[in-house]
Amino acid sequence: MPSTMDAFIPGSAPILEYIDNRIMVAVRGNTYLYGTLRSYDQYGNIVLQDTVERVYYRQSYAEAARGLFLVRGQVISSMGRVDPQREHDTHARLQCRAFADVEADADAERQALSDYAQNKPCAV
Amino acid sequence: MRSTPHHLPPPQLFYSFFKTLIDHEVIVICKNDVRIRGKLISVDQYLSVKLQDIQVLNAERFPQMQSTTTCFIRGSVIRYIELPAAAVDTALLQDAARKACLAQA
Repeated sequence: MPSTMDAFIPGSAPILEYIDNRIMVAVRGNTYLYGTLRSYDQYGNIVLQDTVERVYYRQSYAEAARGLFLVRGQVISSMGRVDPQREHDTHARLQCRAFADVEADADAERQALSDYAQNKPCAV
Repeated sequence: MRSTPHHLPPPQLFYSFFKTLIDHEVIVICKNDVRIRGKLISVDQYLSVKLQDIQVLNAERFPQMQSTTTCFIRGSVIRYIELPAAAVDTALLQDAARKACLAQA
């Protein structure tokens, strides 16, 4: 089955084995979605069920439930299968906070980093 | 050099080349600065790659990916791929590039 599907949908073949698995999707613009992959097409568009958006900031993280998602293939930068054990271990070390707070902190830090990158003296 | 839009199948030389690197350890550097080391499992004609046993080298900046062990990276977001030097036959690659160039002319 995988080999025939590989030939059938060029360019998105490796996604097949993630179907019905809990996956992490990195979307352009620093958004990370976690959900169950239900479907995909030849453009790499995907459907995620029970999607959760997650943000991290230093020693804390936050989650927001987002429901059913269709993510356009063009904006996906990477995706990977979530290992529940690793996920649990990572979260055990971190503090869970309100989504808006963590998002604001993370945005502020990213902004500060990009300001620094734009203003730093030229290397040459 | 003309760049190939993502919707057109690009020339096959580097696709074949990356297929020879399957099962080797590579480091992928994405345009958003994530650096991922892992074993190359598969590659498609857009040079999207799939890695196994991944380790995010700058995990302190990207904790989001710590819970994953395998990942698929779309070719269009890859900036560089660091290759294992021992696994690359540069003479053969150069030869293949010349042949491809001649075939196009």
